[in-house]
Amino acid sequence: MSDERRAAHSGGLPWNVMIHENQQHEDPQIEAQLDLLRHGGDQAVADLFQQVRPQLERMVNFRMDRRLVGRVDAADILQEAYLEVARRVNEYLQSPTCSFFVWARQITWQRLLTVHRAQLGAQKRDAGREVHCGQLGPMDATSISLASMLVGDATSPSQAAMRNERADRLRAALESMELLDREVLALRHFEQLSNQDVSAVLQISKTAASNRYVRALDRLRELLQEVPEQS
Amino acid sequence: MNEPQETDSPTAGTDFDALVEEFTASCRRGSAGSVEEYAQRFPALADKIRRLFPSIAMMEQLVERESAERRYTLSHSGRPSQLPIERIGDYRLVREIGRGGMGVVYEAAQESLGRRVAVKVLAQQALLADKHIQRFHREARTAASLHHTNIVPVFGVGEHDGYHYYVMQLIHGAGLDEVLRALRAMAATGGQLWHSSTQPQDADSTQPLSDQAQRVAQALQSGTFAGSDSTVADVWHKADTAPVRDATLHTTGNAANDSPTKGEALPHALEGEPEDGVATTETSPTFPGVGTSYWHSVARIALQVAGGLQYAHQHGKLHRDVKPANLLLDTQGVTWVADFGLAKAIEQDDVSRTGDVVGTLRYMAPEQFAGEPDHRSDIYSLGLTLYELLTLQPAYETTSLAHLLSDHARRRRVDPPRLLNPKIPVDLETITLKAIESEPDQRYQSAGALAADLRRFLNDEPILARSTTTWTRLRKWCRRNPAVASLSGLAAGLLILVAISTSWGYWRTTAALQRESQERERALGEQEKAERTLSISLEALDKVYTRLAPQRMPSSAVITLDDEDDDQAEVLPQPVVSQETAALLEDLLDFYDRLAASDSQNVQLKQESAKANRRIGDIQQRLGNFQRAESAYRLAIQKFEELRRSAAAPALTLQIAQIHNELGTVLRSRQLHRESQSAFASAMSVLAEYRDSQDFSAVTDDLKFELARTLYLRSQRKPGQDPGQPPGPPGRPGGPEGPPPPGWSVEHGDQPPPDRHAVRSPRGDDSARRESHGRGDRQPKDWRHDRPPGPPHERHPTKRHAPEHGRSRDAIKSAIEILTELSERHPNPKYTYMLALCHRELSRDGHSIEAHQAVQLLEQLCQDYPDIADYKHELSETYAMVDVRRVRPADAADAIEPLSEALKLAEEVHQQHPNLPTYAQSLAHIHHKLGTACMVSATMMPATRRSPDGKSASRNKQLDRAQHHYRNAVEIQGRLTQQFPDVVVVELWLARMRQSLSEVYAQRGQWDQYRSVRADATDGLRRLLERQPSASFVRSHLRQLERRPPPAPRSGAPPNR
Repeated sequence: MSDERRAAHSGGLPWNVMIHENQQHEDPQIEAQLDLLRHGGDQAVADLFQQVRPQLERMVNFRMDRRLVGRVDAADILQEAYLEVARRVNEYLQSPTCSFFVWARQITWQRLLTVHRAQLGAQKRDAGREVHCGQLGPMDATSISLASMLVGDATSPSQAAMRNERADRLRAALESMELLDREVLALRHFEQLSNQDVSAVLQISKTAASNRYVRALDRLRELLQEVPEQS
Repeated sequence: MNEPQETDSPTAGTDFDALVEEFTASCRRGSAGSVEEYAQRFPALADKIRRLFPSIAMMEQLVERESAERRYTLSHSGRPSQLPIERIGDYRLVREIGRGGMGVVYEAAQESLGRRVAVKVLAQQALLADKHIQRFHREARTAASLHHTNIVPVFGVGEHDGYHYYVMQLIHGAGLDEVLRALRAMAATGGQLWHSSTQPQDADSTQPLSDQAQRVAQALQSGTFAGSDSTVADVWHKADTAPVRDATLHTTGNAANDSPTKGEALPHALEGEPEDGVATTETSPTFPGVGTSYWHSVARIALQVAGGLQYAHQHGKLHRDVKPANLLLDTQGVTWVADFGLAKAIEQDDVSRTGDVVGTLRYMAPEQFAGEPDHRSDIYSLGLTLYELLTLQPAYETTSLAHLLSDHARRRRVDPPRLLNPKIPVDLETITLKAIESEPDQRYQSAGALAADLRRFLNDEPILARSTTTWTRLRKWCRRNPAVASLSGLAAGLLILVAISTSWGYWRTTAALQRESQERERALGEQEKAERTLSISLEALDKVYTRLAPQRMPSSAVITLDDEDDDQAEVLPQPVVSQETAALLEDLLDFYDRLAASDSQNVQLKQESAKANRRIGDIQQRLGNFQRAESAYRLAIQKFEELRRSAAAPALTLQIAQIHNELGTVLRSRQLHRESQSAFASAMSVLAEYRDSQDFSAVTDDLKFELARTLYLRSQRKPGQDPGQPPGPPGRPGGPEGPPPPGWSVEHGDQPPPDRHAVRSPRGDDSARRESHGRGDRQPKDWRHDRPPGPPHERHPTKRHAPEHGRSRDAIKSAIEILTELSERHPNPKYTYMLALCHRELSRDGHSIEAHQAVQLLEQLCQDYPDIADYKHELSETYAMVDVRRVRPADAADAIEPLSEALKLAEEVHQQHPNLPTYAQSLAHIHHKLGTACMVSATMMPATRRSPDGKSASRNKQLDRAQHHYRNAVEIQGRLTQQFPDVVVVELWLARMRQSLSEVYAQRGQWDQYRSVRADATDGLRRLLERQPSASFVRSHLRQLERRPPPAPRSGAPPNR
């Protein structure tokens, strides 16, 4: 799977081309938010950002490459994201195609990408050796994170390598899932997005998002069933 | 995260979405109900829920653990840089010897004392809040107070420039995790101890192993690794005399063994690089043909750790993170436990909330995930470490996603070590498995107990642990699976196999016990243990029996001696076993006997054996194998009587009375009426004896109930056998046909008369004999060979039964009194049921009020307990109490109605339990009765025959119906004869039914069919006679059948009466 393809998932698409028939402009919540943003000034932006901040933090923590943990603070990224949100909020208000959260998430995602490139860019391969994600680029946040739950603590290289091996099966399974399916799982559970938000982020219809999700769960179930249970 | 606009959507799809969100949200709150609850709440979506929700829950668990871990990593990732400082307090840091999530371990020189120490410097982020710092200091202080040969001493704790550190003794050796890696590497290159199939799990051979680790591994392999309790191996002396290349290990959270060999040239490590030869001269680097020594080395390591843990536990200190990386093997053969309590010290509040990820998950006890560790959690972790040492594989493979994700799966049983490597000693396996029981209560209850068993193993003494796991699991499994009854015979066979092999261990121990009388004291304790194991096995077996063969009906509910489970309280839906399973279970009786023979003193064994016999009796009775049932019951009585001689308990009395009653029922089914009565009398005398010996208030309800039941059974007339009391005016519809006895009623309802025209049938004879011979003037004979009823015309009802009959009525009335009193106090379906049977019995004297009452009670029972087939069966029997042979043609239509009701119920019950002969027989009889009623009704038609063809249509219709029912009866009865080829009554009935069918053909003038069916009937009887030439009754019946001329066509003569 190429990095380019991977880049296409989740935050990989520019948020501002997102014009989709399933956008719920009539959603009173979104309307209320927009209203607040239009009339509330900087304070409103800060308040709203504060509201979505836990979710954004979850996203950053989950998507951040293991190698950056400890070197880059999620709070820094969120801080930078906030500054950009504040700077570009008028732009957003001119043609709001998604909820404030989805928009802020896209901005945060881009910040995270930038940081990844800056920190890992050139020496990606070398650095990769250390954390056993050699074949995966930084965009593989989903795979890495999903696989790493097998891991107790990634600090000892020998143990990480062992885990890596055991994670192979799971990772293979996850890799075998369709990119979008896997991403749906990640968004629904790791980022705790609603189906509506998922559909907005992935720019697919809500029905499609829902179907994807069900399919991904089914797939996961199959994978789990492959684990022989003896009890 | 709910989406109201979707929640309100009417379509099923979005309903499901909303449900998913609700479920997910509650998972996050930790308050999610079970998937099954959801499935039941939303039956329309149940399939989808069952299919998808487990995955959702799984994902959420994953997320929770993942984020906890992330937080942890995050908070521990800021490590002190390489030697950020050169000294910390009194300590000059020499070099880094390990690092991990918790911080970095340095070797340091304590200059004031001129000694080398290990200093663990915690990551700055590890201790964020003041309270954490305080906790760290507190934990370190407690750790410092532990003084034990196998615990790494903590010298002190302090803070320097914002770095928290603590100081401990420097251990020269290797972490067990590293040693394990070395062992795996050796196994991979042809270690003899391990199967070639034992795949070394750790393939990261890229990690260089320290010499120390390799040397320890070799010493272990060759059995020269000494425990503290044995002589120090030479190899270590030698290795030690030369300055050890310092692979000193201190662990930091997770194995911190990456640095020592990374080539840092350390001054002191270079002096006199050791002697590659040392290890190789003493212990060959290749594998010597070691026998048991490796296992002993392993046991010694575990023994030392257990010793250290025991000491710490006694001082109220938990380790919380026992794992190979925290166990250090030094060059003296001593195993050291490091980092006591540190896990707790640096635990973050938020982290601990999510389930304590501090320890390496793989070694954590299930209850530790729930945040409730106690000292037995340490035992568990040590057990897993031991497991890994034995198998060179972690007990929990992380390829198994389910393990790490859910606590439930975590409780999965590991592969027994010997499955992976049969060379592992059985006892060591048993010890290991006991240590890692998922239920803390099932483990060793102290590290000391574990140590003691390890010591026994090392001394070649029998260990105390028994592999009870299988049984515990089986028991739990039985509890979880009430539907065990649906087990195939094969599965049941497997269960039994397990039972036998498990208990074999008990037998062996007992035998050994007798040999080693000199070790009486120890042995006694051991026996106690073994008995406990056995009792678990027996209990499990008991459950298997209960589930496979629950009591057939509440009227004879087993009140087992010690079964206070809910099993009895609930009314089981009466699953039934197949003939095959019954045979398997019967085989098992032998096993009890052998077991009992090995230990004649074991009361529980005797009891179980008696119970098992009784159960077999119940099963065989249910299946219609009366002879087998009889012998099983007799054995059971004998065994229970033996038990009662030593201790008279009400429960035993009850059992014995019950079994006598069951025996009587079986005997009655075999037509052995005298014996049957004497069995009931035994039951009565057992009960009376008990009642007289006790204060009456001590008589339990169960005993009272049994008394009532005995009264009923004794007084129950053989169905329809009491012509001395004609049920009301002859020919009156609804006249009782008589209920069947609780056994399958081969003598059901209308006793097979040779001919339906012989109204008075053979029944009078039976009852006459019962009475006259009940006083003992007749030799018991097998009914098959000497069946009393002769041809019907010989029988004449007599009045001489009357006095006895009056006594019967009184007995039944007493029974009713008792039952009424019981059910007023504690309503119970079995009281109601028995009450109904009593009323029905009374109704046979023509009291329609009683019949009405019986019907009412049974109808209520059927309504309340629709799953109990026996209730329906008896209701059906009660409806069918019409004596069709006495029905006047004019009343025939009235008889057909209740019979049709009865048929409906009987069909239902038979469908539910096609393999139960009682129900099949009942169905056949009801068909037969209906056929007869239709025939009688058809005989009315001749009255209209004078207007030819005008009414013959309705006559034909009745004949059609009669034919239909007779045919069904013949078909069902035919199947029964195949199933029970030797039971005379069944065959007789078949002949009788064929005869009835033939009469329909005769009425219609269909002589071909008439002759063919007739021939079938006589053939069947002839064949029976060939097999049982002495069955004179069959002979006379046959003669009669042959003699009987075909009725004239269209004779349509009404029955004699």
